[in-house]
Amino acid sequence: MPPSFWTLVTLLGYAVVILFLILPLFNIFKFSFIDKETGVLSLSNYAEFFSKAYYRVSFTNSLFVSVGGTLGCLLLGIPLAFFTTRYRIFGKSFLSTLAVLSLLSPPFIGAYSWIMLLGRNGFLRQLLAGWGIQFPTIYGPLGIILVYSLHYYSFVFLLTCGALTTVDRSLEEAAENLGATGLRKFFRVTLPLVLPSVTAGALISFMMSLSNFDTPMIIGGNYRVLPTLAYNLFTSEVGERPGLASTVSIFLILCSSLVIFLQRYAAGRRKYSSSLVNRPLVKSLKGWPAFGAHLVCYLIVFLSTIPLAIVAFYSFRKTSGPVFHPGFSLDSYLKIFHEVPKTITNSLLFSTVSVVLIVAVGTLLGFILARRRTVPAKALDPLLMIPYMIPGTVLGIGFIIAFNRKPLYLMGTGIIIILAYFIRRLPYSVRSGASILKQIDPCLEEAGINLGAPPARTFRKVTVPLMLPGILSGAIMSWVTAINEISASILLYVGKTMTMPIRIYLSIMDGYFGNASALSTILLVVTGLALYVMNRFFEGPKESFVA
Amino acid sequence: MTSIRLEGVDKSFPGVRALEAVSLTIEAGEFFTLLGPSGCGKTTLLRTIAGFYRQDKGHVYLGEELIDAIPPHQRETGMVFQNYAVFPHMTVFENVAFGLRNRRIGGAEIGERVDRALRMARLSGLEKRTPDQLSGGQQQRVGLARAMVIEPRVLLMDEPLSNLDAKLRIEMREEIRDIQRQLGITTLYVTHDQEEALVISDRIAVMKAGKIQQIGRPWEIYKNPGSTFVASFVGDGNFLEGEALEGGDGGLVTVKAGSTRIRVKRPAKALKKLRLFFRPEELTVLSGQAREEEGCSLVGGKIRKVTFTGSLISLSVDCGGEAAIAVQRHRPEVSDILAPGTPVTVRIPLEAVLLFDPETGERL
Repeated sequence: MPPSFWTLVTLLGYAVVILFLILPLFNIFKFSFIDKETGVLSLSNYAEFFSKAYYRVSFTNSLFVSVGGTLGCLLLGIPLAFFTTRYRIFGKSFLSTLAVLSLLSPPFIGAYSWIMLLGRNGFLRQLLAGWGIQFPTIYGPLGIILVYSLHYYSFVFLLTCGALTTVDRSLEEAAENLGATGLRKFFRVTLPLVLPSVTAGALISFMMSLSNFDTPMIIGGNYRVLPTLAYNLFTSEVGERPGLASTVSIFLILCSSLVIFLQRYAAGRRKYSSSLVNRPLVKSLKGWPAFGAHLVCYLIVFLSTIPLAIVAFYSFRKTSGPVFHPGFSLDSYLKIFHEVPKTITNSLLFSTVSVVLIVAVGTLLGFILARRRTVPAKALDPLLMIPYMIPGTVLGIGFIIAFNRKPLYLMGTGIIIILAYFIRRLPYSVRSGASILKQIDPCLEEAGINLGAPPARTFRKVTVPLMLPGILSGAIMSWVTAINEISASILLYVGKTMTMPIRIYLSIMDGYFGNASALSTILLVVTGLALYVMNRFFEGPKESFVA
Repeated sequence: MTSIRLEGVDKSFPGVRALEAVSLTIEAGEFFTLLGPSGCGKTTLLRTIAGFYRQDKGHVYLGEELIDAIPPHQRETGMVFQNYAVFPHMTVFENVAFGLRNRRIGGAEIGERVDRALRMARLSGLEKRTPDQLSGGQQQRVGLARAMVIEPRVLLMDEPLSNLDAKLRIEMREEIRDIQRQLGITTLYVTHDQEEALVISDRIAVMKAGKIQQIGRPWEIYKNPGSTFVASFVGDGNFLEGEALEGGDGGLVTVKAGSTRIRVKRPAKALKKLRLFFRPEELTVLSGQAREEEGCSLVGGKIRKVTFTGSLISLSVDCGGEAAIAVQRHRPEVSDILAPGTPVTVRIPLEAVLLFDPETGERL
């Protein structure tokens, strides 16, 4: 008997995992134990990492900015979520769309906008200096924490919103009936009910802060964190140290695995909410309380969106080389269309091809996880979690080590970038496929089979059409994250495979802010359009952006 | 018309033995019901025949054909699901046509056969509707039409009525029975509702913990239960634990249950401890003292509770034991509504009393 359709799909899943995850990771692991002088197996890299304060400090730095960023996210995300879900806030959906847009744009856009405002020649800083106020520059850990907070708070915001809108109203009414009102009700009943979601949001923020590479590169000054250390060690033209970079990568993976573990634990406890509930009432506020609530909400969203506005603003400024002049023009756009049209087509091509792969493979594997009870199918689940734990920089390093020799020589091709996008986003796609399937009664598929449609045909005729809305909105999300990806592709690109985020990053580093702004604006518009399509045509809670 | 035959079928899930050495034959054209509480293995058995589970041991035959190795989509069974499983993204017509399309049947024939199936299920005119525009009952009719239209070798129905409200349930079980008789299709029906099973079936298999307890016609199952489990699961009944007294005349023996004495037929196996069972509708309540008569026992007691449900009156009588004896009377008179505490005599006919071994639960 030939192997069944789903057996073949399971095999495909294992092929993907082994080739694009296990192999690169194993290579990193191996490299971390190879001595740079002798080339033999040893613990010298680890010894060096621990013995030199230069390396050790980047570890504590990483923790510091991640904790700081996470606290900032909680501080911004929880009040915004509470006010927008419980009180009538004018322009609520506009606010949450902006929050999502700022989340999905690459963080380095935020980083360099803040430099434009509060950097050495920052616009705001000079304005203040004109009034005699000396404002400190933004470079360093505080700048990083500021950018993380204003960027990743949407995770906390969206997850908390989701939980707050599905808390059964009767629970809060019961609390009131039993005599708990106001803050007491919030802290004793409401907050504990949504705490698992808040925790999950905080852990995602932490994880993202920990693995982010571009923000510290741009705004960090000399402040080193683990991802930038790994990147520099690996790519440095003088004295590159792939072994030590691998060791740093191992530490990063260990940290993020721990966080993921905690996050799964928190998510596993997110059981309170259900979809069949009395939705909480949305109250109307009047007078000062109404003003206060609006002020808080608009201020938070304004601060997180201002980088995007600044980028768009500067993209229309007159420039000559790196210098901005008074007045407006389309120079920057003309220049990028003239000089780097390839980066735009590359970005579109790579992200589109990767999304096709992500959707096809993710949906099939999602089916395996949700429906198949065989041991190999179950074992695939934790394996597919691995990409969650690998920061982009680490994946990039792993890909370089794994695919720079025959028979899989992929360096310098678009394929390797597509594969990096694909593997980074695959677990999200698998998960969302599986969770959509869990809402589809397996009886429907059994009915299809019982009526004579073989498994593959049943999948095509019954399962896929039912999953389609979920698949399409997931595909848009994947596309958006792919087109904004930088931390893995920055290691994998060559001149002819450069993408928009990489070009933007390089322009910022070279001081060509005009070009960077114009490209960033294009990227933002594309991202915004995709989000618009998704909101317009697919229903569904906004948490799906992050979960 | 095809028969279904199972030979020593075993199926285990982690931690549960769902089916244990199940052997049974369902005759061609028969309406056969698997009856039992939830978790008894009845659905597992049905799904094993459909091919969604592969048995660990034993064989399944459709007619003379061994189908163990045939995948579910080639088994030619028509299945009706508890929660309808009507495809929400297809119209009624497309739902019913789905199985025919899988068989590469031409468009004209599809139209004709779907039309016939919809008429049979009383769904004509709803072809273009989508399932969300249908009531639960209509959705289940689509499920039925969809299973019938492919002219399956056997029809498998997994609690098809349990999601419907009580009145519709009664209406639809009649319809299902009529359609089945009309087409003469072999049908395996799963339910936990004993009344439904009695009404609808040619034969019933009562299941418990993965084993078949008894197979028989509805009348036999009700009147002649083979074990205390079957007796208690099908219909209402009184159980009394008692001890056989020494002596007794010829074919009779007296059993002491609490403070009461009940005469029963002498069981083939002489046991000291006995479990007595009798149906409430076999008993009569007599006011005050009554005269001894041949062929029945009289038990004195007091009315505990009277429940009037229209066509029926249920009396609960305290007879000194721990449990009260339930008595039912059809076509009640106003004089049957006795006040609690009224002294009465309960008349228990000899033939009404069935005896079971309290250890094994088996019929004596």
